[in-house]
Amino acid sequence: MDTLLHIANVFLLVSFSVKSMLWLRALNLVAGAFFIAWALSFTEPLWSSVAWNIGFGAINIWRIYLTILERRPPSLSMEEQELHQNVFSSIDPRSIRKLFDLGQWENGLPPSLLVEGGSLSPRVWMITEGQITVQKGDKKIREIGVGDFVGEASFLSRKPMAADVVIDEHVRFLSWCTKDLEKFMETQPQIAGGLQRIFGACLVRKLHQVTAQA
Amino acid sequence: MSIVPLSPLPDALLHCEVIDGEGQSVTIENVVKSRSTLLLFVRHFGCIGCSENIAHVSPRFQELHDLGVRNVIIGCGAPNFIQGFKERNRLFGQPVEVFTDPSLTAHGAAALRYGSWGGFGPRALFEMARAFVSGHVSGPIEGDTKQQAGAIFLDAEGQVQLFHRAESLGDHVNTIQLVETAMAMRVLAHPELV
Repeated sequence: MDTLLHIANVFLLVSFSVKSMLWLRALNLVAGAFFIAWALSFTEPLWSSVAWNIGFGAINIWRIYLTILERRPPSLSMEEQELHQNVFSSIDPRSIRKLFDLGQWENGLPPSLLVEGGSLSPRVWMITEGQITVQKGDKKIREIGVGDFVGEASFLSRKPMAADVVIDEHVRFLSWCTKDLEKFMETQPQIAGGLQRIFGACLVRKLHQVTAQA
Repeated sequence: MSIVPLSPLPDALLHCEVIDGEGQSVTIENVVKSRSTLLLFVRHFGCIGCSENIAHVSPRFQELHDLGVRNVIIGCGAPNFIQGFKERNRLFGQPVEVFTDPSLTAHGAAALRYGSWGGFGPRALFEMARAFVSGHVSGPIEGDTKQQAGAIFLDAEGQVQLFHRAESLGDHVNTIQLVETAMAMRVLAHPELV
């Protein structure tokens, strides 16, 4: 009878000496099983000990399950993998999965107006194929191509768009509703930090273009 | 006297002098002149909470710098402690300048909290433990332990865009909000961006 108790404690001891949280929980779970076996081995089983160890075991099983899930690489389509590598490489794949899930893939067909100057942009677009044109009236100001955002300036400053954004060739983009994105950034500070870095780099790039044009 | 968002800094703060590691004095007015500036006030240079604070903000210094922001840390210890503070917080090579005001005039003019509660109250003790388990250590006391931290973000026109007044040693400025403000200021300065 005492052998079961000793085995349980040896597992517990070993679990405290490992560095990995997953192994610690797994060994703890095994120890718990031996504790239960020991508690049941009495002619009058120690039900309170059984109940507590079932409780500990349930929590450990749940945590082990979540840890294993977290370790699995998220599935990203070819298109998403390409975008992740080219634009969002500073964000880890699991986080980028969340960001992509928040967005929506869209095709833009010409000729159409993506967003009108003078209005707040309802979405932020990331161009993954083709390019769009920024124009004021009939005057073409510049083109924005693959890997750049559209509408992020309006999103960041909460000010209306300075010019029209026009689709004059087939484009594909991933877009996010600004309200959803704002909420997401509030609740996911780690991802928000990474996204801010990418927005910042995009802004600096656009500013260089603007300065060069001037 | 207080810092009012969307207003310029009070004259009392603008006229305060801060000292760099070489012992040279400069007024806050000159520090914030003609460019967006982050004034990050820290507690004493050896503070565990400030080590945590710098660890949160310093990864964003380069980004802020790229967005045209001058990053300035103002402590309250003697100027000869600046070197050690920069070493401990791995600030060498980072786009940030460190000044100090041992007289605490600038901290007072910025309406930052002053008192023992912020450093040794229950909340502060919890925050101290949090910082410790996150790997931060308390260094020697290099300044006034009663002085609490804070942050002021000014746009290029010298208007306050963000003000954070720390209640205790682990109450740090929100870096996401800070970078967001810097980006918004950059966009507003260039209305042609879409």
